[in-house]
Amino acid sequence: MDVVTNVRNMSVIAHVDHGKSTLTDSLVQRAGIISAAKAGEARFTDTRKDEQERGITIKSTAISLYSEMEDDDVKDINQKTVGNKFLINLIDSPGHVDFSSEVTAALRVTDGALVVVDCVEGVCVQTETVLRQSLGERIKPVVVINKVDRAMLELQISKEDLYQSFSRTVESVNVVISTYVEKSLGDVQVYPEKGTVAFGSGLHGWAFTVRQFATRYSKKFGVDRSKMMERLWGDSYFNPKTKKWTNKDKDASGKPLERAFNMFVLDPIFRLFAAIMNFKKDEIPTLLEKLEIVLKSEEKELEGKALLKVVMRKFLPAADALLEMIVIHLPSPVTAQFYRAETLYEGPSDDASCLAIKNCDPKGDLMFYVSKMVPTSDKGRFYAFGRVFAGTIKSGMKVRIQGPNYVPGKKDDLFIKVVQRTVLMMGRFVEAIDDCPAGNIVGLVGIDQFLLKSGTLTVNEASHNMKVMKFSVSPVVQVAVEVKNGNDLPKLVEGLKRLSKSDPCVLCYMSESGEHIVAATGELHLEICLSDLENDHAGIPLKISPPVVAYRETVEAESRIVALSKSPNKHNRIYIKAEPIDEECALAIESGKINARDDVKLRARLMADEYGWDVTDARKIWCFGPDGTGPNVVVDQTKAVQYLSEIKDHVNAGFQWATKEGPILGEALRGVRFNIMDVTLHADAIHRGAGQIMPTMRRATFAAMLLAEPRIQEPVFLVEVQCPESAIGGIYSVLNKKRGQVISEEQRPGTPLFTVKAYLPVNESFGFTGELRQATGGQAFPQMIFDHWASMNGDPLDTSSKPGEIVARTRKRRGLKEEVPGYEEYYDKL
Amino acid sequence: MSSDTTIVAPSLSTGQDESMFTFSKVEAHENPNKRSHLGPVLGKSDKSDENLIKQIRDYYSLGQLTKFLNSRDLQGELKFKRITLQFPDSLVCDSAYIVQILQDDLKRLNEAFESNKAKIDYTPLDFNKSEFDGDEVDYTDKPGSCASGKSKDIETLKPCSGKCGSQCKNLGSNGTKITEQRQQVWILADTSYSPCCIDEVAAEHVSADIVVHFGDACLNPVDKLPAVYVFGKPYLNHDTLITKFKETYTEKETKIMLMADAPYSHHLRELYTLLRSEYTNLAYADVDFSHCGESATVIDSYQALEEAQTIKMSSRVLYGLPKEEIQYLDEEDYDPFTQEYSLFHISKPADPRLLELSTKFGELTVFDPMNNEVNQGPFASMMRRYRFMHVARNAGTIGILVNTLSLSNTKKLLNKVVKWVRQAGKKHYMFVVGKPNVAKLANFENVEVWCVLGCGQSGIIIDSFGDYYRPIITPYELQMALNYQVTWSGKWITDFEEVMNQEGYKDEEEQEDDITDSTPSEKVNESELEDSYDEYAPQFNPVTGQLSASQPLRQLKHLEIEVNSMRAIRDSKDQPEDEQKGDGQLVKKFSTSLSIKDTVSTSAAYLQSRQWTGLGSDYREQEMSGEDMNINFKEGAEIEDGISGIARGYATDRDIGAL
Repeated sequence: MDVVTNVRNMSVIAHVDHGKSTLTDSLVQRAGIISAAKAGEARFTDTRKDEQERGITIKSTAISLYSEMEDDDVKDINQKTVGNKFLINLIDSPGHVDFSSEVTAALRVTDGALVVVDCVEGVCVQTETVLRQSLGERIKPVVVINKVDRAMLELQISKEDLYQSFSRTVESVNVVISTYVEKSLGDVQVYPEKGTVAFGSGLHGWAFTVRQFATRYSKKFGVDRSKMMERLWGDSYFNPKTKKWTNKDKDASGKPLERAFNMFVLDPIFRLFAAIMNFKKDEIPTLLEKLEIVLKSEEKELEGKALLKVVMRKFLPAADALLEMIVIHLPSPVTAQFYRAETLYEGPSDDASCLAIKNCDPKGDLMFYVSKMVPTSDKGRFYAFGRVFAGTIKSGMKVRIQGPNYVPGKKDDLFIKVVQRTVLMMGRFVEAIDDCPAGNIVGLVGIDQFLLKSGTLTVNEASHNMKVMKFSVSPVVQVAVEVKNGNDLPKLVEGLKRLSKSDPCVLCYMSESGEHIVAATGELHLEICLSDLENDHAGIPLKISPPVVAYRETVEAESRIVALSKSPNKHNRIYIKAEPIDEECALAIESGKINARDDVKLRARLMADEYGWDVTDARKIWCFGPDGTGPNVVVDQTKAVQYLSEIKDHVNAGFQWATKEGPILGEALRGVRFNIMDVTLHADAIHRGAGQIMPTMRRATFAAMLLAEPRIQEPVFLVEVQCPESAIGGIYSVLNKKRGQVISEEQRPGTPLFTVKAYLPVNESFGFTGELRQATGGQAFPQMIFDHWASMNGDPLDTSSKPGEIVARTRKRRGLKEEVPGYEEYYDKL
Repeated sequence: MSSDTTIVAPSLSTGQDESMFTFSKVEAHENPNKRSHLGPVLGKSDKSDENLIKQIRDYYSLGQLTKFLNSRDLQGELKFKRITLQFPDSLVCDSAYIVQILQDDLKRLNEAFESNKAKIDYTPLDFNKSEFDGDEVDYTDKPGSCASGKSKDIETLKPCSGKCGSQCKNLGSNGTKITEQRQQVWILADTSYSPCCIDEVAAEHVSADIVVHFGDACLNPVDKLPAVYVFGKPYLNHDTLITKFKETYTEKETKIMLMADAPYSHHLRELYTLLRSEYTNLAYADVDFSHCGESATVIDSYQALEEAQTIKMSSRVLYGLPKEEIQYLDEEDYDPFTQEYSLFHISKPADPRLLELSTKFGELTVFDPMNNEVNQGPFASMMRRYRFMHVARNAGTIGILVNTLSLSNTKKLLNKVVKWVRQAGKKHYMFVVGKPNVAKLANFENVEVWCVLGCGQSGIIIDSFGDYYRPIITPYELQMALNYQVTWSGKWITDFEEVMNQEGYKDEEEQEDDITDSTPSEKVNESELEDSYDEYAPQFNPVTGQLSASQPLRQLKHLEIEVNSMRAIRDSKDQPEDEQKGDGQLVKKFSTSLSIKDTVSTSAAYLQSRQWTGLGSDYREQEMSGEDMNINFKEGAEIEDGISGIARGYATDRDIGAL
């Protein structure tokens, strides 16, 4: 641990059911934590009961593994290393799209990612999402193509087909990667011939890389290993007669040659499979001998799949292949932090803290990022799980706890506390340690009360925060929860607190009408959260409302007239026009690309260059809202108004207030730009105070909005369904019924499976999975991920339209006046 | 006002609703709805003054009132020499006539008393037109109005001459002769806080002996002044009401409670007898005349029914309840008991009253006697209050808004509230703003939640549509919010006495001593206890779903180290260096001035976060942004015509109107 160059922090990421946890098991087994027999079934990292029952991972789980490499392998590592002992901090993450936030949290504290891809299903929607995310965080991927056994046993495909399937998968991974070219990270595409792709079966516990086979054959052929590796992949053929390598698939006489990969790598495996599965008892021992596999006596009596498992595990142990790949190809913290520092740190890239991160300096000032909270056995308490990016964290150390809203020099969100204990996270267990230098992943005891989900720990007053994680999913599905018994109320509130701590993405808040709302990313996520809340965090019976969707309010056009509002004393006037912000710009604000905290000039330049804003306008953005960061802006377009900057704070406060609860259904505004055209102010400061300006600004904002063809936006899921051709008709009919919109339908080459992608309004998605199963005879299982906000057609003020219905219903639920007030309500005549 | 009260109400009480500022030309015709309370037939068709005066006399039972006001003690001295009349806005239209009648009557009575000391007899006067037409009677030879006569401390108060013109000069006509016996009548021009309460403070300005309160009243007891309540006897069409009633309740078995505001309550007994035959489970709530305390009298009060067991509930007595059921009820059981009843309320109650009733009764139906319509909601809900309570839990700064001065226990409760807030480690500021409105409260941006001390009937602001910038809660809700444990009773308690008698408060009182005893020992143990719960830790805020440190007074402690270290650093630096850092700003090192006199100032912290830091800060901004924009700010702007005219319609508006 103290030798940071020999540490590897990595996460296992993939689409759901591609076998992350199973594959992780084989690594855990190597470390001796679980027995070899159980590996592949125990799913050691699935620590929760419901995880085991459902067979899916819900929470990411960290585990530290120790491994020794052979000197020969160590030589191949082209980064600084000391000795041949390595510590691997591994985080197993969930694959279901609803839990993407767990993946994000895992990626933040790791430097490398093991991307698991199902050999049959190929690159799926979640594979793409997590891959993009990891690249965004500057994390280097390596790939495992999993479930090769399935392809061989179930689909019975030929060697060449298997090779084609492999290469197609590798290619599609590279397609995703190549869209994210980052100079500092270098080329991160994966190449089997370089050893960054492994093939195997997590369930059977075997895997191999081309490098392993190259090592075997390099001795035999007397060729250099790296040369051999290149020969064992791609269009490279070996002519057994001439004993020559060639890149043509036919020999001189035109006879087809076998591909080197098929011949040298796949052939032994296929032969073993054929022999064992066809019960050719006599062939087996010779084969085993050839491959130098020694079986124990009791193992010799096994048959069929059981024997196959044992043999394959001895022949090509998964842990070897994976460890080799991880250690050799994934960066050490020292290497990684050098290029990650600037993307991790909010402050200037030349200050002491940033440099310490860059150099992964264990003697520098502490920089620790808490990425998530892990529940302890002590109810209601959590380990603050995260990574030391600089300095060394010790038990008993006094640290500054900086929450997400902390700004250097201010006191908000800042606490000074003592770290009670430092622990290593080992799946279900923890191990106390005294201190931990930069580059490692640890859990901390005693600071959980001061942070909700994530935060930064420092010791230096000048240190800024580490950048806040941006999730690819957003909590758009929500329910209201209520206690059945009034006396349980304190427990509910405490439970909501624990729930929001334990999940990086869930949102627990209170609606305007006083209901406790739990918002999650999807139906499954919501279900898990609610069952956790009911059974674990609060431990009380709850009344749960049917799920509802969060909407947004926006505008379609520019205000048809300038909206004017007068202050209560009639001495001040604000003239505003609203207009829509285009979707790309709104997205950029939401993703933090255009950040309220950025330097005004740089931001204006970016907005002008990429989003077509006028530079002068972009510089005169007064603020973003709601919450100071949202996708709505106020632009000052006034000329020569006296005292204007004096009321800026009040205008901004009024704007925040207005954008948080819009005039139509009390939801947040999205993608609206408000131009202040003119302002009339009273000459006497007392008559233009907060009380006069703030409510007026709110009224003016509402009036401008209602004059600009207001619309409501609903969240839309991207749905991906994989199914056989026969089920496609069923998918279409269900999608049609639910206002779904098919965007693509393609067959996965080499398989009978079709992939259908569609947009589906979240509002219609409740019960979609069930209906789909029904319509397709259980053959289709959808993956739904929040994709975008879509404006609904139709005037929300017209109660006969679809949005109008939603508005009426929502307003009633929230206890607002049933009619949407007209602009006249907020508009003052001259 | 007695000497122990140091707070004097400023007369800021100008209501600022929209109607006040809409610029409408004076309209010639009278408001048709004016005086609709007198009844439809008389109020509209017959507009002659004579008739009107007769009506007013009847409506307000002025005969009885005069008699009461003219009462004398054993020595034959008048009990009340300075009489103030308080009207709600809706009844101000009658004020001039009432003053006129009262003054004339009192004068006559007093003259009669003077001439015949043995016999005081009340004889109704004949009012002919000439007496009321001030122009015809020549009073001009008696200089001075009724107001200028005696007191000098009346500037803040409109003398009745302001309202009724020359008419009340009557008083002065024979003034010289009976100066000693003369009774002065004043109209309190504007009610400072809630119109349902006795406005003691305004009455104090003329050092009044008695306040006559007209219209609906909350009957909350007043501390210092004797008071007379005149509800008036509004007209009610019984037939329409009964039809509407039957439309609303088709089920004859329904448990229904009849209720009305104070003026309409005199119809209840009759309505009850009319409806009882059909509705078997009908009950009604009459005014509890004893609620107003001993110093106050209700004119026209009728004998309360003799019933062995009744339920009393905030100025109402409930009659007609099944005796066997209420016999064994304790006070706590009232709510679940009354909740079974649907409420039929005649006339629309003020918002806080409505909310209170909605918590006490099952279903609510409001009958509006003005247009004979029935309204069944939706009314403001308690769920919003629940949210506000949570906002208060997580608020660092609480504004205490004093919206009454006359209610008994105001000061006591105020002190309690301050103590609660302080104990919870929060910061409080106290405000008196006259009649609160959106603009006034929004002026104090850094107040996160308002706690209003006011009369439960109409002195509390219920913000049903989110117009106010920050939520407004009651002391009872604040008390729940400041509890360590999240509590929510769903009750709505506004009575000050009752709030202070809540269990939580009692416990607190007992604990108080323990706390002071145990603090030193706690500090010793603190390091050991650190493993367990930390009371300085931020709280989870269920409203926003974030953690919030809402105890600014306790924050000092955990930041202490830092503040000290900052000081150390600053001390070690040379003075000039420090000045350079100051950068010419007016306020230096704001962070240390966060604490003023050993207490945290959240306002200072708020000011710090503002972008506008004083004159000149905007110029710096302009210079910075102007650098490479090729706009030279040093060149002044072109001279333009400014605004001229008055605020409600500047001369330039006509041009802008073209926009």
